[in-house]
This record gives sequence, C-alpha cells and structure tokens, in this order.
Amino acid sequence: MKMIDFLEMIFPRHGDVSSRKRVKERLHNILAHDRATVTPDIIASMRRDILEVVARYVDVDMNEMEFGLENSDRMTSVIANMPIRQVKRAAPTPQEKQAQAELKLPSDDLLEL
Amino acid sequence: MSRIIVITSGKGGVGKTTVTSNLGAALARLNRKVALVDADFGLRNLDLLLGLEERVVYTALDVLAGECRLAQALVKHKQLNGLVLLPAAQNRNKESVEPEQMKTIITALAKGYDYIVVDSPAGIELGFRNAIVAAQEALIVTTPEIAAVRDADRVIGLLEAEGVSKINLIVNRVKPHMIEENKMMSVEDVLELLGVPLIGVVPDNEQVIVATNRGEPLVIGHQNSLPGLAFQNIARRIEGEKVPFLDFSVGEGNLLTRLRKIFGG
Repeated sequence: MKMIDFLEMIFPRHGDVSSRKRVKERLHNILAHDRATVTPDIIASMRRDILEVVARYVDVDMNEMEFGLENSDRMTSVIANMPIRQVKRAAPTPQEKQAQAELKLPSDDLLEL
Repeated sequence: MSRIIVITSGKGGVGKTTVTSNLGAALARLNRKVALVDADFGLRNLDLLLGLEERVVYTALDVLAGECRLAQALVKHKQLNGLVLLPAAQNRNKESVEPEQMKTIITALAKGYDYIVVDSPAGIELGFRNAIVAAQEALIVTTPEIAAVRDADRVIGLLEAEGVSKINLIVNRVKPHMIEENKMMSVEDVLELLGVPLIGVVPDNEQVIVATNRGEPLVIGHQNSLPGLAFQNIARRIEGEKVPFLDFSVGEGNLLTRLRKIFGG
C-alpha cells in the first residue's frame, strides 16, 4: 500500500471531490450550447441541401448518416459523415441537373399545399 | 505607438475595476505613460479604487459636450507619475454616450500615452460596446466560478466577432486550498474551457480589500503581497517579458493537504 492510500484511508476525502468535476462537466455542456448559435431549423435545412448535392454523385446511406455541429477550442464545425452505398456511373450533366430541378418543382408545390 | 486595452468580463463583481487600477499603477511603475478610462457611466468606481474621487472635476461627458478640453478632464495620480484617469459621469446613464464618441476620445488620448486601459461596465449592452469600440486587445477577467466562466466565454465570442483578436485571460480570486481539496476549478480547468491564453492569476486575498479601503493600488503599499506581485507580473507580461506564474500553494492548506502533497497525492 502506498503512503497516500494509507493517509486516504485514515482521513477520507469529503464528498466534495466531485464538485470540481461536476462544475467542469456542466460548463462544458453549457459552453457548447452557447457557442452553437445555429438553430435546429437551420441545421435541418442545411442537412437537406447538402444531402441533395451529394446524392447527385453517390448513393448515401441515409440511416447511417451523421450530421451536426461540434465544438472544440473556440471553433464550431459542421461535421457530416455520409456512408456511400454506391457510386453513380457519371457526374450529372448540367441538363440533367436542370431536369432534376424542374422535376422537383411540382412536388415542392404539392408539399406547400 | 500606444496600445489600447479593454478590461472586460461580462459578469459583474469579478474584479474588473480592481484589475484596471492595479494594472494601470503597475504599468506606471514601469515608467509607462498610462491613461485609465472609466467606461462605466452611471456607476463609476475607478476613481475610488485609485483614491482620486475628490479630485474629479470634469468627466468624459463634459469633454464630449465641449465644456472642457480633454487634458482638463484627466485626473493625475498622487504618487505615480504618468498615471492619469479619465472619469466617467456619475449622474447620467450608460445610454448617454455613443460608441463613435467614445472612439473619438480614446483615439485622442492614444496620442499622448503608451497605454490606454479601458474599464468596461458589466453586461454586453451599449456600455460594453462603448468600452470595446477602440480596443486593439482585451483582457478578460474571470473567477473560477460557473457564472463568471460562462459570461467570459460569451464576451470572448463577442470580441472575436468585433475583430479584437488579441485576447488574454486573467483568473482572479483563486483559492488554492479549495482547489487542492477539489472544491474549486483550477486555473488549468478554466483555461481548458475558455481556450484563450493566460496572462495572469490573482489569488483571493484580504490585502485587496485593505488596499481598496485606502484608495491605494496594491503596487504602492503592498507590492510584496501575493496579489501585488501578481499584478506586477501581469504588467511585465503585457510589456512582453516572460515571467513565470506564481505558485500560491506554497505554505497554503491544512496539515492534511500538505501531507498529501508530500506523499504525492
């Protein structure tokens, strides 16, 4: 047994050991929340738009995909993890992009109604 | 080339004004010309901590109103050559000054002084914006407490958004015996959370209250007290000198914590 363990046994530390740890944990969460000033609506909309672009080139596994904000060292980053199921044969031509955009219009209108 | 430094914290009562007066005095002792600006309109206190309240004749508002020249409003410190105070108005509120006006005054002061140190009011409203408008660098004052650290983080974000990129941290009212017993966040804990460079650590010490009672910065009568040394070290670090941080734990704590230290706890 080390000397410090022996001392610890005779003079047990109080339950306060956790108060320093606890305040750090709380602040860690509070600051992450304070620093991310992006609303959930904006995140959902950004996720949709980014996915739309990526999906033109590859098939993304929607169930396995991760998307969100992460904080570290005064920097907030957008973290996206999109597992690819299948790579599409060729990059879409501008005409195809246009056609897709036009195809989408009616359904968007329907959604709004 | 003068340096314009704002002292700010977000939360009130963490020691901004104490830091401003003591740093101003410590820089003046290093033979620098220092102008302290009280930006806390309506709740001015910097004159009290410097023991200059009876010498205040004009304020920054009188300068803006054209009632006096800038030089007439500056109050010279009794003992320290080169240290002057531009007082805030006490009988008006924070809304009586606009950031552009504040900028005009501070820019004019910068022509005659090595350092312009601005004492910001608490909060993040107009008074805070007035205080930071001309600043090139900022010293964030915080204490190892949850509310102070959260507010400091908010203020750091606002300063970065305003383009103030040189930001340093002062951790005030550190209680070494509480840290040793894991009852308080350590300086390292606070640094890890806030992510800005440390420029000073000031221990919680009764001498600070004694010195303010007398209206004397610590570096005059109590230069060998721990907080007095801490402020002098901060001033030297501002000047670019590499000064090691003081070890407050020496001789502190009860028998048990000392035994723990001896036996590697």
